Amino acid sequence: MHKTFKIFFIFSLVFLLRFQSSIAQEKYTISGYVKDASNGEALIGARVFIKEIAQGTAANQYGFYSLTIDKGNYNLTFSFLSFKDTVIPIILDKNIRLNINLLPAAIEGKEFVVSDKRSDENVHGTQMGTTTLSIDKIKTLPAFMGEVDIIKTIQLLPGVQSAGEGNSGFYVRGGGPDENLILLDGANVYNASHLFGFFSIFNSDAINSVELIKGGMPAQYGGRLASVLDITMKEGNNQDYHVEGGIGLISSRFTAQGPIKKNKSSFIVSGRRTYIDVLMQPFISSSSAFKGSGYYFYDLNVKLNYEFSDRDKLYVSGYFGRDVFTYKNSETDFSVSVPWGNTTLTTRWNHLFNDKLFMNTSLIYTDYQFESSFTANQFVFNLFSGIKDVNAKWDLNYYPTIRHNIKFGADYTFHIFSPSSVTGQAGSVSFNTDQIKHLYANEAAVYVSDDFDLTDKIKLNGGLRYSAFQQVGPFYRYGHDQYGRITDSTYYAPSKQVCFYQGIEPRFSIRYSLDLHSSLKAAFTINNQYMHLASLSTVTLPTDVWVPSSSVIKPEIGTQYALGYFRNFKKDMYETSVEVYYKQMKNMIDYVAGSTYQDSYMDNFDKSFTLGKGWSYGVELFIKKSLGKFTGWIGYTLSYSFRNFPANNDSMTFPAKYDRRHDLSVVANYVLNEHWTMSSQFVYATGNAMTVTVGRYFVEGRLVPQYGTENGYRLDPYHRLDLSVTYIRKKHVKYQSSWTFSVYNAYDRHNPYFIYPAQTGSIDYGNLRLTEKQVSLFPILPSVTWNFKF
Amino acid sequence: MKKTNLNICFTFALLLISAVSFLGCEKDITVDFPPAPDLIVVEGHIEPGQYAYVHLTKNSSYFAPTDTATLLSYVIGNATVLVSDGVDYDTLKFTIDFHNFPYFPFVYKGSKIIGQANHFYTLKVMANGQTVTSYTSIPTPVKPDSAWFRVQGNLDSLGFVWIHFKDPDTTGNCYRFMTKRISHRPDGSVKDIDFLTNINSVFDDKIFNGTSPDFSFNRGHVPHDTAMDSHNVEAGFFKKGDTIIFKYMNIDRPHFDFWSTEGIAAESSGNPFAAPIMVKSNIVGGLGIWGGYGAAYDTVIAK
Repeated sequence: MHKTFKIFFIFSLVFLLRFQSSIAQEKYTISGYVKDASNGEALIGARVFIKEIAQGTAANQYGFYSLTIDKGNYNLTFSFLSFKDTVIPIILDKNIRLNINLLPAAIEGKEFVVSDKRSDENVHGTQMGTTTLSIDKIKTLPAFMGEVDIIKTIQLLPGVQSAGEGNSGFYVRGGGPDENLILLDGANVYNASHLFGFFSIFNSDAINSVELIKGGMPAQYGGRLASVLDITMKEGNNQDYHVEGGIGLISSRFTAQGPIKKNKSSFIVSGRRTYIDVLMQPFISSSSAFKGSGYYFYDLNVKLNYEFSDRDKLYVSGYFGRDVFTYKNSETDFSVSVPWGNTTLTTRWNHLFNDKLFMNTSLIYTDYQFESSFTANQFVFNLFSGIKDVNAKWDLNYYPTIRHNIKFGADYTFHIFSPSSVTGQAGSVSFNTDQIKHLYANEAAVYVSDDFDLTDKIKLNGGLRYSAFQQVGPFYRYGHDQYGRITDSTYYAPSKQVCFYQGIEPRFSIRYSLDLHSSLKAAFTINNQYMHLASLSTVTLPTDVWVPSSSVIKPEIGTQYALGYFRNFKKDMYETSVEVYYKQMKNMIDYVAGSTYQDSYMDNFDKSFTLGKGWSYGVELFIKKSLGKFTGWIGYTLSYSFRNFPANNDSMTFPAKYDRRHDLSVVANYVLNEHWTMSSQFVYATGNAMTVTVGRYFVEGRLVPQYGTENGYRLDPYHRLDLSVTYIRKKHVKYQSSWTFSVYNAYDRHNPYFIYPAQTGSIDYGNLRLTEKQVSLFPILPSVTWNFKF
Repeated sequence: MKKTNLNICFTFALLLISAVSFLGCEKDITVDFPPAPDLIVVEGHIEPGQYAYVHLTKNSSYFAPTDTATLLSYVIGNATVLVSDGVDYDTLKFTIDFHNFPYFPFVYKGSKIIGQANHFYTLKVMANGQTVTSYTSIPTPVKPDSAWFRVQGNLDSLGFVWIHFKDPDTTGNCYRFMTKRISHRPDGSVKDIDFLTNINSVFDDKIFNGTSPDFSFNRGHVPHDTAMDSHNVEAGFFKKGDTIIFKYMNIDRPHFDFWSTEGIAAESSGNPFAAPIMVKSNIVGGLGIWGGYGAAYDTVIAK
């Protein structure tokens, strides 16, 4: 441990020395915030460019920028694509504070953006595999049942795959859904979906920006192998009061925002609820055995901010969402109640120490809970699982010269895991499960990174992250005899260490400019993941349980190598890229074959897991047109992803659930005039790999299925076309409304959701028949949504 | 224990099935699966005071026909079946077993070794060029303190069998239960010719170790049972007037694992949302179960 710290220290020192040497001439700093003039929202990633030296920077997550350059006269251009460029001439002979409010470009449909970043950023930045999406853009794309969903748009990017029909789960470069770090205002979201993943929990009306990083993860992020999805909530309009909302087929949304104190403080409240249950009620007769059954979900996003001074700003934001499913069958006296959902609460304090040093301190609480209770006759069973985190983050941005952007900070999380626990009662006798089982862990990290120009052609982003994980008591570790009976237990007192892991995670990416319009990039990253999501089911369910690393489960370690060629054509009107990657994953977890959820009740939580390895590789092609009336992109991925678990599948290598040979997305958007916008998207993907029943035998006369090799069968390919048209009524200064008509699965393709062996007839009468059936989920589905804003 | 389904997938299946029936569609497809390797399937047991009893069949491709002739052809009749208690050997003899008529009406029966509690038994089967082996134990029988019949809700004359018993203090006890109605139907036929179970016929004491709970049990069902009361409203229930022999078996962990996973697999068969589950067999080189029953019996008169 001592040695690792030493390496870390030396590494940091090298960074500091690098830029010290370049501070020689008389230099001054110009810094400030870039905001949207109409509502005061931070423009995350806005570009600040100095023509005279052909260099610039980008605003950080809070809209802050800082440039330190030689004394002189300059013209600063502030740009953000759906905003008017603003040029400010400055005489730099002292440190200058310059806050800029950009005006939105008149929305005449001339410019339409996919990315809010300046469109040559993809060629000039060091970042690879990073995409920022504009919410406005997402809203015009065809939406499943009219529900705008940022995660479904992300699935249309190369290297990102949908977890299944209508599913908002996503797989990045052959990694599982648990390898994605999903952050909402910095808070970890552990289960980002509603209703089997058909909808994500993110209400697009409350979201300011969405950034996906699928390769070359910068050092300030960690704890996951595959990707980061960083979602920032809107701050609320600090100029005027506004109300907006939408009424769709299955849900309605409502958002209110406005200043608490103009220019100082603002709020936003946004809510959404589905009403399938309400709509269905009249169709369930009061005498029906299922009276009282139903399903709905709701979300609530709230954010407040207060600017104490130019140097200090406080943000408080939160999310609360629940899915509620109830099932009652009065005839069989069987009822089920299943609520589940996330809660997050983030408090952030931005502080400027000086013009070059920006700090953000966050205190975060996040909670995911799943509960279910079953009642049948006199038996009551309650099942509980979840995870709760208390997290403190300290992030600093230091801009010593224009050539450097240094980030460093620390991160600490206290986790409380609750893997499946069951409590029960039979009549008046309570089973002695006593309490829900909790597991406790500390996770911490420190990092430093520098994004710097080595020469005019070479830009380097070097980072180092040191992470550590400690499982602590109270904890019981059970010992077993040869029959699996518990024979003894070791008790770890509260705070006592059960196991400890640590790791150094280097993160490097480099850009080499070939000319003004093209560049080569390479990245190498190592990531450690200390918590794991294990699923027994073929579909991702809210029952999937997060578990910590333990003395049995080692941390997952991912190493990724990526190489890319980026080129823009026609004055950045077309962006193209080719990226190749190779990923190795150590200590992947899986359930031992034959495990059931019940195995770990009243026993070691990690009893049913086994460790293995995985690897994936692929190539991603991307062509995007972001300017003009006609915009869109084509993304294609050719990829491979394999797993090997010595304890399962006779130790043979098998394709991962996330193995998708071909994945194609075509997105097109055409702005006809100020009233009409048309969009379409087409997706094609190789069929899912599945484990299928290949044999059968009889025991006590019952048919027992025999399964073939793991994921040994491929379903038919998946493809689908969606269309949408948005009609915006004539714009009023005060009031605006629009109608979006979409058609999901326009040519009514019956895509395989899964296949299963079905039985008809009965062995009792000798007329049993076995056939394979394919289930398709969604046929052609038209929908309409009305949105308003005033 | 009355089957109370803890499998959440089932719950979600309900929800998703309603979604699928509302929007989705299903169609028959033809698939080209790789064939399953040929294996010997053992279904054998031994209990105190009785000889070993072993059925042998073969597995088949999943979509093979299910007529009586095909099922009969799965019976392995030419096997050498050996049971040992560590001291002695018993060579089991192939004979007809009317209990299982008409599907698998043959059995290999012992004639030398009689089962005893707290003893271990090995099994060796040689057939068709394959050899499979297994090993089991007969745990100490745990007899319920009392057993009775109780009408369920307002069902008039139908109900379940209840027991009150004391689980031993040691953890890891596993149980299986069966029932047999020895009373007769109006036509004079005996209601059950054998002890019957349901899917999910086993449970362990994980959540009630050392306590004395009351449990209810429903009536089992054997496939190939065409009796009216196995298919009408009485299915799963006992009826006032029945005389029921209740068989309560203490079993070891591998034996439990088999019935537990077999229950899930059998239940998942035809359930689209079930995760594939590998049935945990204690047969080395084959499929199925060789299990010892620490059996205790009680008689309940339903009134």
